[in-house]
Amino acid sequence: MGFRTWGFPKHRPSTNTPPQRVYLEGQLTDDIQLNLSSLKDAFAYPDNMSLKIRNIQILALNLEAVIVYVESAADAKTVERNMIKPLLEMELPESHNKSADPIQIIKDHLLPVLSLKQTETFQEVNADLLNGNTVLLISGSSQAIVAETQGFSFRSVTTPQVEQVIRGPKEAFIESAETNRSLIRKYVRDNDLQCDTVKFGNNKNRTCYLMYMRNIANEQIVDRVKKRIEVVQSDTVQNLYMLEQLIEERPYSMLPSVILTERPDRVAGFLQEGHVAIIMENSPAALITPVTFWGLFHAAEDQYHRWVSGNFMRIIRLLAMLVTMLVPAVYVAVSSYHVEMLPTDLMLAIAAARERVPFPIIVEIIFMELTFELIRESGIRVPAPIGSTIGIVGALVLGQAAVDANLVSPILVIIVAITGLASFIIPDITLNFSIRVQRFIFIMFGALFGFFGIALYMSFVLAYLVSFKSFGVPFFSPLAPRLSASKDMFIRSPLRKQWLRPANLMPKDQTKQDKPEGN
Amino acid sequence: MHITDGKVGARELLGTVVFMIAMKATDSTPDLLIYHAMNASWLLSLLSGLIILLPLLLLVGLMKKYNTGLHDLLLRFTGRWVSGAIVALMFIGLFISTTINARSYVDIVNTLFFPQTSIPLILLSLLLFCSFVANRGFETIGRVTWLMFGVIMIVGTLLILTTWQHTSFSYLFPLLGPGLDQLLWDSLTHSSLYGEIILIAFFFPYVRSFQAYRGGIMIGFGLCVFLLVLFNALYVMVFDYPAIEHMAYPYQQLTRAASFGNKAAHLESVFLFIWIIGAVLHFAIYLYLLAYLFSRIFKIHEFEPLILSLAGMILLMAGFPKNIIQQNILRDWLISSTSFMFLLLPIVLWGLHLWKGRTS
Amino acid sequence: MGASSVEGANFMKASILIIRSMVIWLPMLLMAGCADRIEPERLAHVVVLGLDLAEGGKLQVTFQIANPQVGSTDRGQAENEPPSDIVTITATDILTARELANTIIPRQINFTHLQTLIISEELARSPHLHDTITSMVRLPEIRREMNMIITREKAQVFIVKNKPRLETRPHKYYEFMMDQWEISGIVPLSNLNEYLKDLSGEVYLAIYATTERIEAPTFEFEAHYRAGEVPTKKADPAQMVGSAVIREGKMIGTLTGEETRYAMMLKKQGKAHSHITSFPDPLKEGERVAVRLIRNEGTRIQVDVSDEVPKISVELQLYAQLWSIQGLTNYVTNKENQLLLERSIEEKLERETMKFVRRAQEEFRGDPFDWHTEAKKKFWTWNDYLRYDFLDKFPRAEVKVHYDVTIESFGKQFEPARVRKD
Repeated sequence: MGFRTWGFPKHRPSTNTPPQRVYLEGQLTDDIQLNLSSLKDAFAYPDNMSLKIRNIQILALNLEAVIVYVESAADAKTVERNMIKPLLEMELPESHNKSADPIQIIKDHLLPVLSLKQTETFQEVNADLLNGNTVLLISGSSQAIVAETQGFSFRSVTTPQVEQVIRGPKEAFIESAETNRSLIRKYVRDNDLQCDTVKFGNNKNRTCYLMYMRNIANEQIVDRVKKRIEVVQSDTVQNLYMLEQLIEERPYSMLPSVILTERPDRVAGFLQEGHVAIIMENSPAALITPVTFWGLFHAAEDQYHRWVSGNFMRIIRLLAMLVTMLVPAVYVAVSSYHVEMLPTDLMLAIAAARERVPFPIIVEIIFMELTFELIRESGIRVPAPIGSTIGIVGALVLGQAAVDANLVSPILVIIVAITGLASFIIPDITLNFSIRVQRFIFIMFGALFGFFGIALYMSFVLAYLVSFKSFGVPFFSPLAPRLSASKDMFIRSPLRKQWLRPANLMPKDQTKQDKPEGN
Repeated sequence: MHITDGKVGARELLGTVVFMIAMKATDSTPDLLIYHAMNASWLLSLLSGLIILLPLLLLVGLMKKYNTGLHDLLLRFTGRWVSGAIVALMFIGLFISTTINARSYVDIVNTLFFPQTSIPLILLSLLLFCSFVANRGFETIGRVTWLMFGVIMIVGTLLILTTWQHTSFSYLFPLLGPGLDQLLWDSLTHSSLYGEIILIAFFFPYVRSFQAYRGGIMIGFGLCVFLLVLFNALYVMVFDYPAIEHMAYPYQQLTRAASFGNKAAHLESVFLFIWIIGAVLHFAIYLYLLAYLFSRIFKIHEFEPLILSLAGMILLMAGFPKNIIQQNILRDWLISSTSFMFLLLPIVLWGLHLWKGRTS
Repeated sequence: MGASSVEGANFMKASILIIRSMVIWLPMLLMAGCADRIEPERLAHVVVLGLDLAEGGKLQVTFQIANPQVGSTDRGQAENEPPSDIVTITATDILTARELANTIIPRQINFTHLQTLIISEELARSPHLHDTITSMVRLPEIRREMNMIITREKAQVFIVKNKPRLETRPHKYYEFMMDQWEISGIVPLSNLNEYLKDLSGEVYLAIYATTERIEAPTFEFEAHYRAGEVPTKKADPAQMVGSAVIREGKMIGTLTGEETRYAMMLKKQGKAHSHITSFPDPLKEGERVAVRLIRNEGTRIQVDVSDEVPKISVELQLYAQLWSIQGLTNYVTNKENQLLLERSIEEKLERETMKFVRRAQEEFRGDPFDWHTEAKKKFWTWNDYLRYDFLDKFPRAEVKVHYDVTIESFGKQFEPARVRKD
């Protein structure tokens, strides 16, 4: 902007990032001891206890070999049982051709491990060791065999923490990508469920898995997602939550471009519509792209209930969204600018209660809203035994005490309580945050310009919502722009009538089921 | 992908047309109509609609034949300079109209709801947000208007329901008000009430297909006529003729009369809220149209940045009329003078088309 | 938005520049907009406005300001404060009075919740009524649905004396009384909107009320009373019965409760559609029968404007619910008696109505029934209507009124039980 810092030395961010120490480069050599010593160097063996080395003699081939793995990354028992034992004990049948490539023989006959591969670069060996795989180096061969023996421990599949339902499956993703994939596969048993591996990061050392339905998802969308992921350079992406922020188009926007969900049944539903799911290690969630408003607004449960209950919940949710955004702003606007809108009795009651309060209405509202946000945030961090007590203390006593101390008027406590409750109904956490922030902006507009201000800002928000795109798909489609859809937007129709897929994702296969009779 | 091709469908066009024209039922336009047609202002709106139907059909027919928008038609039939002059004329007319309209909306807000806030400030906020909305493109405008279309219909129905008990059908009589001949002449001169339906033809390139365009326009036009007739009739039915001549803002007064049963419901602020959103969209469309016309005169390709500057100009020029009486006078004069242009343009174009057809 | 990425980037830069520069002028915008903001406790809400004539053509304006702390919430209760504050100021008009009153009342006086306007008869009979009301309507805070009450004594006296025992808060009294109008029909619907419609020579009826007591003979017909004549002992001070007749901006007379009822009934769609009244028992002299008369459909009004003198014929379909038979005559199971009663009611109604219509024609020379609206239907243009000048011809019009009464129910007893004498 041209504001100079007047003589202070300009702080320049260093353009030289400390070089990634590439410990190993190049190919494996024939000499097993050389290979081994490079590996030892790379892992600072024996000071660093992470590398474990076991020299063995392969009985069947009468060869020296070394088994290398990283402790607590590979499962020691698996290594023992599936690699060391067979190599030490198994013999080849007499008729076998002994002059064939020893690697091949080992792979084909000796190792009962399910997933094996051959490699010849140190880079790959390094990466595999870090991932928990075991490397078998054979003397005289410049290739190594890598066996999958991962032994990271994970928690077991539990009920979802955030997206709880009364009716519906109660399984949630865990931190293991493999388990997550298996959960998805459990829900979608279809030939066309495609799982692609995408590597990204500086050295392409991070992986994530793209899952989509080959016969439904539009290729352009899939390509767009893939490209977006591959472009990510950062090496510190540990999980999906950070990946989300790196692949979304507008980091400063209020609205998310992707959804994170911890329920596999939701993922299955999204996949059936043509969305793309991303799974990554260490993330108990799946990332769904592209996202529309309906993805954020619909809860999983809506489809599991009957038509009446499902729609009832939807309507309540819609009302709750409007309430939580607008009610405090409307209260400020009405009491400050549009007093004629209140019934006379209510207005007199408000005026009576407010006579003793020293602050103007905006200050009251901001104070109460902030208090409520404090209670909310502290409720998340508080340890479980004290949790419920805080809830009671915070909400009731604080509100009551504030009223008694004449800091706020009683009607405000009701308003803030209703607003807070309504905000809990919003299923998606990112949308929840956006709406809470919007609430404050609406309060500001309401305090400045009454209903006029609220309406102005509302039209801006609508225009923004409608023009927002997530991976090329407009945010409010298929409502606006109007496209053919499965009659499942604000209100859903009975399951029998939901026979179309929403056209906003340009699915290859437009119908979910046959057109029902009489439609 | 065709959903992101920047084109709108029939429904979005319908929403755009409704917000462009039907919002006129809620500002100071009924004042003018009542001034001319006394208690037959509804009939005036109806007749104006019928009168402009023929040029509209001619225009739509022409557009079907050549499958192109109004600007192209003008270029084709009248050449570069004449079409430039015509577009310039339209631009000036629309610009003055938008300025006066914006000022009248702001006057309403100022007089009734925010008496102590300065008018330029309200004008600034309104125009600022209108240009924010308009800046996002015609597609966005179309989608938002379609989104709000349902809401507006529901709110309109609510208004009618809550004021129904105050209406008396007999107040509409005598039906012909000032007399049939006067009515006919007035509806002829006031047909630019619906003039924007001709101007929307400029946006034909933005619409997905001709069928979408025709569907959106015809249904939108019908709906606009219906709404204008309905609201004008409603004002007379609730307030009765000589009294309504002295009333300045019939729509806002009507919202004050809304009641549930006998208890006054004091709902006018809710209706104000929806009305402001409608006003923002109304002016966003006008700003976009103005920017488009301006860019066509000078052959500019990227015209969206113009919107903000045009809004600024409107802000400055809107300070000219001192108060609503001056605005109404100006508005009346403007409507009368632009009516003939809107009526004659499609007829002239059709005539040129026939002539070209005959000579080629 | 269809822009290429480079142009998009430039646009982004430009908008960021604009947004950054907003830091300078946006706060000015934000701070300047609060001009109309006012906290609700800073406002003094006038719920009743009284207007009287003062010397020199000035107005004496009485503001009754509601006290929020009385009768609203327990929390904000103020023990020793009165429920309302009444201030009277003499000024040239209402707005000036408001400004002057602001020298006394610390809060800002505000008309947004003003529902009732009280005008003294003195002011109503003077030529100032019309310009007072019309100039008041200009103010945006004043609503056209405001009710208008004309009082016999000065408005200030009425307001001060009107302390109903069961309603602490002043606006509640008027609010509840408003709902009574539909039920009893003894007072007309009078608000500013209706007044402003009736400015061309029609007759407008406003509610008439008073706290004075006037000696009057006890009538048989309960509705024959005017305001102030209802015989009560130790009751709440104010009475609202009947109406004040206003024509061309001036009050010219009063109507009793019964006459007001007829006026409302003969309108095409009046608000009063059912009320309880009593009629003399045709079979037993001196006894009375109480019925509820219900008008379900609108009144049928035919106006014939083909001649010089308009001919108006009105037909009313009323349903009667027989609720009390003082004379214990059997009107229930005896068919002939029923018919007799119906005829008798019809005749009585027609007689009294015609009396009232004649009074309207001769004394008031105006049309209180909105029949001119029906007359308008016969013309195509306003000029035709004005040329015919229905309102001028109204005093000479021939009016026929016909009632059709049907007794539809009898309460929950059949024939009246008699005391068996051996």
